[in-house]
Amino acid sequence: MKKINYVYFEIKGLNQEKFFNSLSKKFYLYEINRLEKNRTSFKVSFFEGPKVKKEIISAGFEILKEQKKGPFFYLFNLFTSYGIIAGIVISLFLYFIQLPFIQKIEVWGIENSSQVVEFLSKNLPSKNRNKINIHQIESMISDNFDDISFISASIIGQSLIINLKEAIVPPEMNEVFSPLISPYDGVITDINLIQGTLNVSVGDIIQKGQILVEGKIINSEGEIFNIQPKAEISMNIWFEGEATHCDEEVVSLRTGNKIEKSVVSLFGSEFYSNNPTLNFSNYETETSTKYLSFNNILPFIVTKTIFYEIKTQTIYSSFDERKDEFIQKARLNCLQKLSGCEIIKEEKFRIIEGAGTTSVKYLITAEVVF
Amino acid sequence: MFNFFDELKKIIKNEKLIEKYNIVNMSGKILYVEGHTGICQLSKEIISFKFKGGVIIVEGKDLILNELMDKTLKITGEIKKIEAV
Repeated sequence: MKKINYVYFEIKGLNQEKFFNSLSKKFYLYEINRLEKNRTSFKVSFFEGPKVKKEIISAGFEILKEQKKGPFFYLFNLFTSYGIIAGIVISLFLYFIQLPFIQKIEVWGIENSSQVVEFLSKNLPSKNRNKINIHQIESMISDNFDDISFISASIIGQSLIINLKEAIVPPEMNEVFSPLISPYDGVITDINLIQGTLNVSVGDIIQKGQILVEGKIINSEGEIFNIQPKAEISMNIWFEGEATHCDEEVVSLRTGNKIEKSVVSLFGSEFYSNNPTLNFSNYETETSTKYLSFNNILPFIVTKTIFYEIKTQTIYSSFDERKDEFIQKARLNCLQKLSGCEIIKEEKFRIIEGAGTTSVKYLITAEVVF
Repeated sequence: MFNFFDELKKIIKNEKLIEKYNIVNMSGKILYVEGHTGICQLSKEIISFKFKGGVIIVEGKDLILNELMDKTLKITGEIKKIEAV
């Protein structure tokens, strides 16, 4: 039979066998171990320990060691440790004393909560949670912080928890919007105002950069509100392209003769050149450069220059023969100026004849909506 | 439940002999004794105890009187010899 809670005795004295015989009649003894001739250790039940101790003393033995072991002993020891008990009692006393007081203020829902915490720390009517009126706290915050739209306060444990929601201020309240400006020169054909104050009307001739819609509105009480100007405005705009024909035209043509010059350089210094003899009176050149190797250790650069011999030639032609070609050229020049979002409404051209030259002026009328 | 000593008593006719004491030696490590009347000597090498009409001497090494009650005892350790005197 093994006992968890026991008392260990180590006794000293003579004729211990007789003592154990008499003791075993009253108590359960175990693990009796003769350590020395007159020294023996043994264990008894935790509850029988005090009685056994009395028996040992009355029998005239000297108790060398007495150890109480087991969970019950530690529990019992805890109850008899007056320092610990006093500590627990004092802690409980202090705990209950401070229990009704607010120890922490937490603000949820806004990023910069320190201002609200600081305000409440200074202006809280009482630290005692029983004396704090939640509605009063809510109205205090509401009165002192304009940018808060929702306030909810509650006391949980020893924490005062404030749940806030920041007011979303419409951008119209304090933002200044730039007006809607015409990106074209033209005539207004249609206006669909969404918001803002209209500055122009249908049929007005508008210059590029002119204000079309102002970014503010005035209500019936005369108050001015800034607002993002929005409108769908249709305008007629014009694009012009020109192509000029000359009766005599001097053109340069390559004869087919060419000379090639190669220069190899390293770090900007010429390393090698074939230096050909250039005997063309008129020429044009084409130059290309490339690295000789694909590493950076020796970056040799080859510069190749080709000299093409050219000759000039005068070409005579009449406008009538090439009229369609030049009208098309003028139209293309005109179309290049369109951004691509315009609707072409009308196309027309006029031919202006001069001394030896004929100009084609092409005009496109387009409608643009923005 | 099967009782070893009771069954033994039924088989052996002279019951008075076996009522004096009973010893069970378990592998020379544990010795269980019934019917002792008190210990005579206690040491690590020898533990002796009385019974009606004699003394039992248990010799061994690192002997411990593991349990001691009014009529029963248990010895543990390396039991080498049990002698009835």
